[in-house]
Amino acid sequence: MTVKDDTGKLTTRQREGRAINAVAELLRRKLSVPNIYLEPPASLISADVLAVDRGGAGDLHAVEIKLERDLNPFEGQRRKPSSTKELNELHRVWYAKYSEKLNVIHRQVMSMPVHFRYLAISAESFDLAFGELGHLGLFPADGIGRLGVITIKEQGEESPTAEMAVVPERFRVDPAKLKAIETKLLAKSRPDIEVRI
Amino acid sequence: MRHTGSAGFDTYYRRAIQLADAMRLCQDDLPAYASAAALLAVHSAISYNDAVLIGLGSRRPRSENHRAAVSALKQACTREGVDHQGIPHFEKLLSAKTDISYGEKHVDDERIAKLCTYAERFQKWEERTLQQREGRLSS
Repeated sequence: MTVKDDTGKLTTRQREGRAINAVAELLRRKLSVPNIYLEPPASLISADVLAVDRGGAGDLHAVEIKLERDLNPFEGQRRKPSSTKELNELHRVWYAKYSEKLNVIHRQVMSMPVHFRYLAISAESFDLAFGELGHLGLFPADGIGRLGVITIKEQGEESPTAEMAVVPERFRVDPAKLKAIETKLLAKSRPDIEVRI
Repeated sequence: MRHTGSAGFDTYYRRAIQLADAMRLCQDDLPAYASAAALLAVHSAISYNDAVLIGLGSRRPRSENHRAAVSALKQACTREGVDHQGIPHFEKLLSAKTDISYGEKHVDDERIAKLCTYAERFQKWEERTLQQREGRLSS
């Protein structure tokens, strides 16, 4: 099996795994000697990547990666519709599901107890997702903070790359939830990626 | 007593962060900005040293003497029971300062990449030291 064949058959889990590395690399470059945790415990935070700026002393950044095929309008179409009516109906049903799914994801990322929150999506689906996220809102009700959006460009056998499409703003964080992450994760577990002293 | 809230600390700490961030930007295109990256590596470490000395309750050294800066840091760490793990990185950066600032000889990219690594390691140690003493500085 060639490398190209192999990457074409990746599961969503595997694609998101590769994207985790790309996102970690983006945060490593953007932040200052960050401590990076890959797939931290879901009981503390529902995110794929957690990065703590300034060697663990600074702000927390969390990224949720969503590359499911049903979030991408260009994937998953099994057959060609026989008529315009059928096409419109398929589109209506697909869009309703898409919108509902994005709504759930949006609620999840907006409630992450960290200072900077990001959603990472496929670069192909950015325009559609950004339009929908615009309806849902990148800002919380109190206006403090803005959701960041990262796009993942998958390039076959090449490593995927991550780019900052929407720059986040700092959220206000519930101190009790932040404390739980600090005491149960940051103080106890060694980061997956860090600058060694 | 908390020293990290003082105006002096904030000035040096913010300066150190800005210089370190600029060093990282230069590293993204090292062949084009190698000399700038090296200078920023050294000067971010000097500013971090000034900040950590204030954080540890000492005065920053007034002289330009590099040995005095290192011994002031060692003394402050020993007095306050802080490990010396990051200090060798600072020493290496200071020993390269004259070469990269005023030297006639070309400094190759490999050496500059090493200096940037020393600067990052010193920064990590400094951030950890301050956090252990004062808690999270940014929240």
